[in-house]
Amino acid sequence: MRFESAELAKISINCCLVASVSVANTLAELAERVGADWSEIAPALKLDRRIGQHAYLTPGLGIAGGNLERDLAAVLRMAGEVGSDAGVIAAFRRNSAHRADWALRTLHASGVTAKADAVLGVLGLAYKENTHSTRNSPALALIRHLALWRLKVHDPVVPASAVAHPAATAAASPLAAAEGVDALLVMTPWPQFRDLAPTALARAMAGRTVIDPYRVLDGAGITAAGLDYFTLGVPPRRAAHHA
Amino acid sequence: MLDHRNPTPKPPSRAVVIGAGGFVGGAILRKLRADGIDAVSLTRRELDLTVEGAAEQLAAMLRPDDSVVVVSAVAPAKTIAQLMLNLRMVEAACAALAKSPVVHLVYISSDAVYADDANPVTERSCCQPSSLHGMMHAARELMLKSATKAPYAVLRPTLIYGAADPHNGYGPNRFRRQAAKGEPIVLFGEGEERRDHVLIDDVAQIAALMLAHRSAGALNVATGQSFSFRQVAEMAAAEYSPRVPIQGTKRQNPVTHRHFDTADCLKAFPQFGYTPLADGIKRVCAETREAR
Repeated sequence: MRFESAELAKISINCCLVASVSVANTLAELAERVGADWSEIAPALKLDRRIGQHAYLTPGLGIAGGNLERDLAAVLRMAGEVGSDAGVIAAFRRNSAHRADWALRTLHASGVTAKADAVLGVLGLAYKENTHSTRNSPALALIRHLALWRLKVHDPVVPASAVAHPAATAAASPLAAAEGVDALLVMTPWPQFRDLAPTALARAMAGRTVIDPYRVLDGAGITAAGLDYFTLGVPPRRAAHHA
Repeated sequence: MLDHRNPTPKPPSRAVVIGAGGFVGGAILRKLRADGIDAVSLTRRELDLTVEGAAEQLAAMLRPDDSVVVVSAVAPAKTIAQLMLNLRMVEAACAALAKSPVVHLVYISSDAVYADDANPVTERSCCQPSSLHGMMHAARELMLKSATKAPYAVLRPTLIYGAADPHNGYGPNRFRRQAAKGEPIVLFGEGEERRDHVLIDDVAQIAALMLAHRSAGALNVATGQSFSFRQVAEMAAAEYSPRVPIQGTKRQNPVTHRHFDTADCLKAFPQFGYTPLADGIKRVCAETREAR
């Protein structure tokens, strides 16, 4: 393989991954708005051999990963230099930026932020589970726009000092981060957050908004416990007694 | 994304509203004055930007610590003559701003600068106007940008409704007037097109926030919620008794929609909340009933 092909092969792999994730993100948003559930659709896609069992079809908050973004930037730069059409790559980046704000939009749409003294709980500060890295962290990106409200934050390994916020306090446990909050946001899919019992959450929280983009929590259990549940790829699920 | 030169809001020393006699300019002027800001009203009576010497006249009125809001326009610009007139008006404003620099400049533009198929519209959507009106605003945005070194902000409101609306365009303004008169509300086709409609008070409040933060950059003024014209008609009809009928007509043009992603506004002004359309229509109908 010639040098140019080798360089482009690595970039091409990442572009294919981004294409899969962008399809998932685009159609997950559509699912949210038309009453479908992306988690029911993705398994059907994986049955198609041209897509495959290992395809990247889990929706997320845009394209996660500095390497992917770096390679998209490289394609755009090279295409600009030689005059090839990279419009689809630019579209991937636009869609990523749009989906990155999902949690912020969802939080405001929930009405919680209309309350001036609202307290928000944020579970997870790391960029992804099982790392202490906060580079490209969706949690920190979100928190930058929450300066008006008080925060309670918890991450299994990242200290609360990583948060640049005028009124953020550290919570010792996931449940402690939910204590008295008007909304709870699960911003990193740490496996230990799965242990949060919906009934315990409902007892601990002052409000009833749970925003869990990565479906870490048991959505059905959350709504049955009287909380509203917001996640990627499906319309908001309202608390059982409000349905 | 807007850049706030005043991260903590601070009232402008003085605000000058050019075009304060109009629907939007008047609302901004009233909002600023209600907030206790020294706001100078420039209507066509005090300053006619279309006449010879307007640039010198405006330059003499401006002070170095002024924040200026440019609203004045012959809108909508439907003809080439109206387009050129609007450009000449801003040419005069640009000459005045070059001669008498100010500390902050805000231009009230329009979402007509965006391509028709830009969905969802963001502040980074392609500016590709399909109308003379959109091209007029796009050109004026650039003209003013080139004329000032001060922080420069552009507001791009979508369809505006309010009691004092002078255009009576298709949508909340026309529908509630038809409903008030007991006339049927007539839709294009079945009114399937979805659009975002923003209350004039919200436009004024966003402009006031921009002045207080001395913001630079572009911001769309849209609620983030789009409704079909039939839904809007239902809201307007529900405000009057007896309830008027809503009539569909034979569709002449393909159905198009416009939606906005308002994340930039949530980041720039997290404390600000748009008036929901149903509440806004209710409020405007109440205001017009009281005015009678």
